[in-house]
Amino acid sequence: MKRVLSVLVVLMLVLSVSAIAMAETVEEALQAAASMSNEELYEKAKEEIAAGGQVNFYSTTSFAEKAASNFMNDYPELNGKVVYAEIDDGETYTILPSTIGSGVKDAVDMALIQNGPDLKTYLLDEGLSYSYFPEAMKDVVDEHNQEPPVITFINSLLIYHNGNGSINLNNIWQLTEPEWNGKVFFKDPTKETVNLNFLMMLTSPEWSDRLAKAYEDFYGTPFQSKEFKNAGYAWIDGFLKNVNYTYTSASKIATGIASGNPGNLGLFVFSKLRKVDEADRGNLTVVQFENEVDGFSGFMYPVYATVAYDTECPYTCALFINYLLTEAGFGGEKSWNSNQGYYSPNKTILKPEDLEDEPYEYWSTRLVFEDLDYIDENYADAYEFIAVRVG
Amino acid sequence: MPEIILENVTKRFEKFVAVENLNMKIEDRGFVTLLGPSGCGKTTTLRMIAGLETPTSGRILIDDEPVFDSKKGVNLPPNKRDIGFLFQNYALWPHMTVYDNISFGLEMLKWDKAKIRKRVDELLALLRIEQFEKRYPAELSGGQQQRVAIARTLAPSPRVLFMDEPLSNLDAKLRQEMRAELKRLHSDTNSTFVYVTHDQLEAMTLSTRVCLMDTGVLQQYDPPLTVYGKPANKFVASFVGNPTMNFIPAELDQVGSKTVTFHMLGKKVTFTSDDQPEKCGKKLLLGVRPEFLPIHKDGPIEGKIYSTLPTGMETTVQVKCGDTMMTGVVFGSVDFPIDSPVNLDIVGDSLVLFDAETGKAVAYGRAEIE
Amino acid sequence: MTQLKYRIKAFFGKPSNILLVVFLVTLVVLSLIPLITMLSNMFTIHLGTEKKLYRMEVGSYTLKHFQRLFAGDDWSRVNFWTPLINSFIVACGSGVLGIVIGGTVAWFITRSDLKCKSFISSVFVFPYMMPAWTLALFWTNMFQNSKVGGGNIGMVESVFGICMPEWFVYGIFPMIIVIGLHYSPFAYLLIGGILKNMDATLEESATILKASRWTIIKRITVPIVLPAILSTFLLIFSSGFSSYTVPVFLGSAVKMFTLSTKMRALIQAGYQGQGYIIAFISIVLGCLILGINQWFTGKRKSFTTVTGKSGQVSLVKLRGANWPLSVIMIIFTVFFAIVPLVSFALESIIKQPGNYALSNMTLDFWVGTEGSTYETGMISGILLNPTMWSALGRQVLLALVVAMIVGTSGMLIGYACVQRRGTKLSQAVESLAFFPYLMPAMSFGTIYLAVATSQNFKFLYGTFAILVLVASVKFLPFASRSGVNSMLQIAPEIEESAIIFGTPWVTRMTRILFPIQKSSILSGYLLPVMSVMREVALFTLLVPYARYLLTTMLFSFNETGYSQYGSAVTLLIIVVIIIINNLTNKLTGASFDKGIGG
Repeated sequence: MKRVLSVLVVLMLVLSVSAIAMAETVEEALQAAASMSNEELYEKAKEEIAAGGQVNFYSTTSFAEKAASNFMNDYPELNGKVVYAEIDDGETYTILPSTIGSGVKDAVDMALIQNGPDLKTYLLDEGLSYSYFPEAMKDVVDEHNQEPPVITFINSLLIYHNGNGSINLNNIWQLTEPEWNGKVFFKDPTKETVNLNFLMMLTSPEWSDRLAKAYEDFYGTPFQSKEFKNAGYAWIDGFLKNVNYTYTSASKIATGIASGNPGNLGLFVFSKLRKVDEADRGNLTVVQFENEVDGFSGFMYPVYATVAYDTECPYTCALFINYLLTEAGFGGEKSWNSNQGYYSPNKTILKPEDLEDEPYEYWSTRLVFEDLDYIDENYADAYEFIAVRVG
Repeated sequence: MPEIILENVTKRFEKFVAVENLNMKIEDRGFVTLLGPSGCGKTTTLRMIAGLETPTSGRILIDDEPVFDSKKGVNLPPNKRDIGFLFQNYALWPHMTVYDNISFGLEMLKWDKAKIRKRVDELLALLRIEQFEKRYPAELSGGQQQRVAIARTLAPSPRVLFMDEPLSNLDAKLRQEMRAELKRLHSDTNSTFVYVTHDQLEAMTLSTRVCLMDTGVLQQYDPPLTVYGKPANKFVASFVGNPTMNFIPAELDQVGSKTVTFHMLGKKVTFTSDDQPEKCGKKLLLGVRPEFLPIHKDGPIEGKIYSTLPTGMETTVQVKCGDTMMTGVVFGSVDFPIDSPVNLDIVGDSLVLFDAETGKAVAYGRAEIE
Repeated sequence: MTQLKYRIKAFFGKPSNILLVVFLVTLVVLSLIPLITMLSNMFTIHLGTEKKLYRMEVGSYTLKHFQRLFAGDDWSRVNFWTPLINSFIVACGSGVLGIVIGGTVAWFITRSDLKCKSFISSVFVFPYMMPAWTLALFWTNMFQNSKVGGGNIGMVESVFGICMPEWFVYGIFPMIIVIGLHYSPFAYLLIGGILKNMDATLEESATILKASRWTIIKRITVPIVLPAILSTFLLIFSSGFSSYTVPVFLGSAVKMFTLSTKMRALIQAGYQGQGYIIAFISIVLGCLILGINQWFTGKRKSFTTVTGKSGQVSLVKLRGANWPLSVIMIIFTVFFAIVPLVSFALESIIKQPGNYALSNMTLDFWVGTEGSTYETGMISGILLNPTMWSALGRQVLLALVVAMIVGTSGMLIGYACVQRRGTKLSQAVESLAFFPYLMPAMSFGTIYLAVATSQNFKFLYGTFAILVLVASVKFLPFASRSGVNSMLQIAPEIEESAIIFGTPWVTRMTRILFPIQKSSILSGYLLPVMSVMREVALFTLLVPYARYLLTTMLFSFNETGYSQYGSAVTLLIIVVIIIINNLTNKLTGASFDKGIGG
């Protein structure tokens, strides 16, 4: 035991020393990679793999598994060297800061993860991981989606069971009315941070103003309150009072509403409609596809790529990120683009014609987006306000 | 010639003293019994000699070789002491057959198979348990298990054999039988036996020497008949012998060169011994074995029959003389009616005079009652 | 000086002393380091939320976590007091229920002439082998209905048209039922063991004194088993108190938190400091419960050691009630032991939940290939899925490694403690080995998380080694208990007679002591296998990713809504557990329901 332990300690020291020595090279490598062509990167990647490297690739979105296997098909010499592991959103920022730099074999090399504010505070600010974005893509991706690099956007939309006909939802304040009590399904925001970020964003000046305007449209009087700091807080309070937490995941909300009582409404990940059995799918209607909603009709959050500071394969990671930003990677066989609810930041990639969906630009004005800086500033207030109301 | 010597051996458990400053020498081929009431330290002593227990201090030599010496830090494990140990509960291994139990020790000595077979057969025959060879301990009766245990202990021919109350789990008849066999075994095997018992009869009948202990302290270490006839103190006198010795309270008058005079039961008594009596206090006890207390009509002591207990061969008679209860033994079956008056005499030259305060023997000899 | 040297030499001349010292050091390291780490974590600022919230440097000391958690406002009510009360109610309720059910069954099996005893006995212990949350899952599958939650129809509604109210389907009530049922076999084994070994003459003498059956139960039987009942209650209480998975499944829907689920939620939201405080409080409560237990059993020790010649027990004749009672018992046990399996099998092959038509069934979730299961989000059915197989492989490997460590340690601790019984050293080792029992699995995982995320031990995080470590320490208590108990049954002379022959220590162990207590030692190995195979809470924070182990994978399936895969994997786990149990039973005679029964 003691011997094993001392060996482990020594091993750890050696690894951390070599990690520090390598840290610069990973950053430099990524910088160099940004201006390389894919062919050049492939050569470099082959060297890394030949040196015994392997990319442990963690992702919160399951399509990444398919994307990784498509990638290895296209770059056959990397076959088997991108090892996929799914990671729960809730665990992302417990696991990654602990494993990166640990020198453990299974530790992450590259990850696709959601929740920008945490990515920034837990990883990027701590120097545990780096962002990488290729020069060649700078024209087709908006600048604010380059750092950290967004691989896909995912949206959560208001969707309901249409068994009783249309619910005529055209102002977001309707959902704070008592008639919706227990009929609105939403995943516990304290358990999935993107949901939390969405609610927090509503307290921002921009969104509280929009909500105040919608309030006036709906109630006919301007928003005024002693209890709440702004319309955002007031809406959250009214909304959370009505939320039913029966389903613990987006998939469960989707299938649950589809097979449950007519008239129920959920705010959940659009792409999860694919989990609903075909026989039930007709029961669901996306509010936005019926009519515009005063306020918003859901929210959208990015999934970012990030590269661990101690990876042995920075060039392979770079090549893989390049790949994910292209049509081949994002829209390859059975990956994100062929599904509702996933949007590439690469504006040249459009949704397939036959899919009932709209492109990123359409959603960008109708949905709530997370703002890293605002959330960082106002986390405490907003979090406690929400957590207490969740229970 | 394994001689066992114990020098100043002490054993403490936390604060409790189990054995205190014990000195003893066990001669080669002796049959020594450690005798005493339960909790007197006799089992601990045995286990210390065997090496199963580590003394707190002192020195133990077997065959002139120190097996334990607290000062020099010597402490040989049991297997280096060339001994055998027979446990009270036999400690047969329940998952092994009789054969395996007996052969185990030989395997440990790395004997070859054929030799083991031969030795086990020998022992099976010696202890008359051939037919049980393939059985498991649970399938044997108590007496049979006992024999297996003995066979197992004897298998490697230890020079010293330790036995911890080996007969106490047997019924009376079997015990009698095994006693005789152990004595036979002792002369057959030519080894030294150290035997723990709380049964004084066993100690008397089996051993060449008895070591009597009480509360961790050695009381007397002598041949059985010496212990019986010349007990070192009142404890020894009362522990050995059945029915137990009578102790008659007496008041000292005078101590002479080989005589002591005192008052007892209202009579004046002159006690004569071969040696100079020890120093003593005012209060004395006259120790009289029941066989030296005959009933006859001329006896100087008067009393009343309290009870009679005939066994056939002899009769134990309890007589009340004033406040003192006395027990005598009469040969043959005699029946006295309860409360009938009788006269007692004190005879023989194996009487013992004790100091009532210290319990120590003052003198051994004869008494004359006036 | 030489005296001291001699004494040290003499001390270490005994293998039992070496063992005790080794275990003492190991256990102190394995429980104290984590505990100290956790304590310091209660007072430090962590990366992320706390750093943002308090605008303080990571690692700086603060009392803010305490102030916040106990401020007495809504936050502390929601995050501490309400969960505490909920945990308490659940623990009490399940303790009582477990004992009532387990005790009743134990009495019928050992003391009456009930029919089909061996069937009832072996099926009844079944729920204890299954992961506790499977019963919770089964409960919601069974009773959810159109009036509660999202209005999804469960089996009871679809078959009988009955809608159970919300309190029946979610929240405290079903938690009590599920946890109580899960641990009732435990009560059954403990109480049954005592009833079985209780000297029949104790009851017979009462019969001779003309006491009625009922009076005997009331005045003789119950008082004698009372200490066992109480200590069983306390064990179930503490298990219920620290249960994590069941409240997750039955509480989330109605926002019912217990301390365990709250601890997890706080840590997940970045409030590590407050999470660790809750973990610490659970541990203190656990110690308190053990204290009460020991005080109680210590006081009445004479009762629990009732053994005797347990000769012919006169069985109570149930007469006319026999058949009805037997049938009720059979239905009851089958409902909670067999029906869940059937329901999982069913759930794993239906496409659309709640629709049991043949057209809605598919084997895709088991053996589907890439094409056919695409819509479900997995590459292939679980039997063809390499991720599943490697998770299963890791879990089995973990179970075996842990069993080897725990079983062997338990045995050696048992040996050493019995050898040196009464010494302070042996007491220290015995209680240190039992200490992890007091720590709720969730808190235990949390502590090790704290250690593994601290700078010095970062190399442990996400490794197989830390899972082995955490599981070995956590499952040691029962193994060391059974080690001590089995060694106590061996008279010291058994070993001494081998010592005299010069048998080396290892040979004494392997040829004498272990063979004698073979079956009880083997169950010391078997139990950790079972425990590892169904453990989630302990590992959930420590696995590098959810699909690392089969149970954590399953748990995340169920949480995220891959319900068919979830059911399939559940079934797979249960099957593996049953196979292991039966195999061990066949090979060695040791088994879960060993020692009692028809």
